[in-house]
Amino acid sequence: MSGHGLEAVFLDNRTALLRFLSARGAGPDADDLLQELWMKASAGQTGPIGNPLAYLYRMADNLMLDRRRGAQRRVRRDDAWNDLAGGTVPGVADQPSPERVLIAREALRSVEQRLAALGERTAAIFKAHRVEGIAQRDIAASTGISLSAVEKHLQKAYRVLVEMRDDPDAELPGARRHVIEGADDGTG
Amino acid sequence: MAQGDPNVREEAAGWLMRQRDPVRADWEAFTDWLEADPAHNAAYEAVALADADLGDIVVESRGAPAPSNDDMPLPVHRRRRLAPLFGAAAAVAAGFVAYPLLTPMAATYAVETKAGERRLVTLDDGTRIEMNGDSHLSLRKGDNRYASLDRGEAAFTVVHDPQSPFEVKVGDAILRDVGTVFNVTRSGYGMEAAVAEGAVLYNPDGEAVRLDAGKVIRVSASAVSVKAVDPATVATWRQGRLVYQGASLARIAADLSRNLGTRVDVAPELANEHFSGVIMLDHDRARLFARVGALLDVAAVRTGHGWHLKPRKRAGR
Repeated sequence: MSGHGLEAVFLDNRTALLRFLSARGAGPDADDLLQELWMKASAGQTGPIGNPLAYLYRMADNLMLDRRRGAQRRVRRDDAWNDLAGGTVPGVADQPSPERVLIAREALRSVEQRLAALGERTAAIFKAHRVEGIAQRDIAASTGISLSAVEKHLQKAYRVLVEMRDDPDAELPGARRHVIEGADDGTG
Repeated sequence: MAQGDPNVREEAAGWLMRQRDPVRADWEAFTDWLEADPAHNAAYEAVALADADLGDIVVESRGAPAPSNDDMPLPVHRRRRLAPLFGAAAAVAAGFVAYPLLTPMAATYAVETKAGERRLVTLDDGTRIEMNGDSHLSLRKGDNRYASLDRGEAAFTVVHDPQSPFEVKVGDAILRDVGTVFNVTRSGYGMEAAVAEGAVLYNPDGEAVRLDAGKVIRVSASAVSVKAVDPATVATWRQGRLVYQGASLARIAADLSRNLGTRVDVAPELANEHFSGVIMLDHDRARLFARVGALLDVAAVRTGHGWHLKPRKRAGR
């Protein structure tokens, strides 16, 4: 029963999902990626999903992002950071080495410095949202500003992040993904 | 060209934020926007990649789970009233300075355990929250239907009220009970929720994935999976048993650290090895680690800080 609902939604929205994948840059691979999306969605899901379409779209977006990051990693193969990440096994949250932790902290510090230049409030809101994972509406509630004002602060911060990433001199190494999909870790 | 257009960049960042918010996400409108100009996807991708890189850096910077009895300095602002918002991740995000700008939500208070410590929190309606070590929970005064697991692990035995379901916030995700016993873990790597009895809704206003007893959901920055789990093995840490099915040694070391209050780390070459079975916790550490070594087929050696798991000599690994 469970898989059935998702499949029906997938079939009903094939065209829309295909359109989305194309718009997200899938190009001629859109059909193959739609197939891959369905394989992943049907394999990963075992219970009823209340909003299957949002689930499929979200998965499609992640698929494109992962693909893009994978391509990028191949380009940057000489990057020591990525060599360190090379042995990662899907499904395993491996502990980073002390060196890697230091590099990451250094990178985080330079991000923080750049964000601080935008003003304390922007830096604090970005940290609350992105580092501590506090939802935007909770930030809005706790700071007493509107949701769209929170969004404005975050947009400013993201602009700086993109600039840092585009600037080869900036210290923002592209790190690896921690993929848990398909893992079968215990639950302790 | 338009990718470099500051307006397009801001729009792209706006989409990134809204599409991650289950309440505001609008995928059709997002598709329309992407199709309007190829530069839109490029701008979106630039923001999403920068965001994903930052996510990795944040996770990496946290390093190994740090039991509170090691010599990491306590976060400075734990003393401030910001604790419910900023306490949990403060030590963790070492690079970031906390700004005393966000005032705490009216009646939020924090409950925290040290590594190795256990704590039972009973809410007024009888709902029980059993906290494992090295964990941080935010609760609201006068609100029996809300908890936020900011760090660590907790088992929830919820008194169900269909009119007013109990919700656990785990970062951006919401778990809503449907009459339930469930266990939640949050670490730098993501969130895991396993259901022992009843059912839980994951992100009821978004994906709304229903998890019945015997299901476990794992959510990381990039992936979501739902798997089967034996309900009898959910939250058995409460009885001093850690039950695993193909778990990595890195994860087991983190669980041991949290449960024992002793730092347990694992040699990098072993971190990705897997183990299935049961570890019975024991107050006699020497005896426990002798058993852990035998079970995991590793050498468990005592160090200045705690215990280190490394490959056995001539074990042929």
